[in-house]
Amino acid sequence: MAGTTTNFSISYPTSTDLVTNGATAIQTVAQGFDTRLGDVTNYPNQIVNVVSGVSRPVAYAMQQFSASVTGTATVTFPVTTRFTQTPFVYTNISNLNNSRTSSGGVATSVSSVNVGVYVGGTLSTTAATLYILGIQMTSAATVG
Amino acid sequence: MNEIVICHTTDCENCDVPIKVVDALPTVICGGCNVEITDKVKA
Repeated sequence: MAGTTTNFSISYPTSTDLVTNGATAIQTVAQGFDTRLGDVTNYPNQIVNVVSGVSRPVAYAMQQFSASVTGTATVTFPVTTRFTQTPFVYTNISNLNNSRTSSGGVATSVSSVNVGVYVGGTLSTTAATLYILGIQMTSAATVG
Repeated sequence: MNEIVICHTTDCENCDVPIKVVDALPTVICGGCNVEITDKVKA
């Protein structure tokens, strides 16, 4: 092998290498790409970033925003075309609204999320600023 | 209930863009401008 590629250090042969070693050289190149592309068994159909040989899942799409919510509401995503599948959603109440005790949210489509703000076990009758984070991990028609 | 909602806030990223909302609750808020959307049509 004569050297490695600039960005991913994938080995390649030199023009003076023996033809008899060609198959082995091609296998080395193929293995270099295979390793770099990540663990498709544990992360099928998912963007994976390989760091030091370890596959790390990468979000396909995300967006975070805030909305003033009283009780329950449906909130559209600021960018309604970013998600291609219904994302996971996480909500949190602004610390300025600390009399409200909990919040929750579930996305029902690529474009909106249903959220609620509570005081104890009762829907809040006063507004709270909710921070909403939507994450879509894969491009496929699976949860996430 | 599914609805098509349209935000009419000027300069909002969702302004005048029909958005399909699944299982819509009575109150629908635009995430782009944080204004309640009243232009709703059953889908």
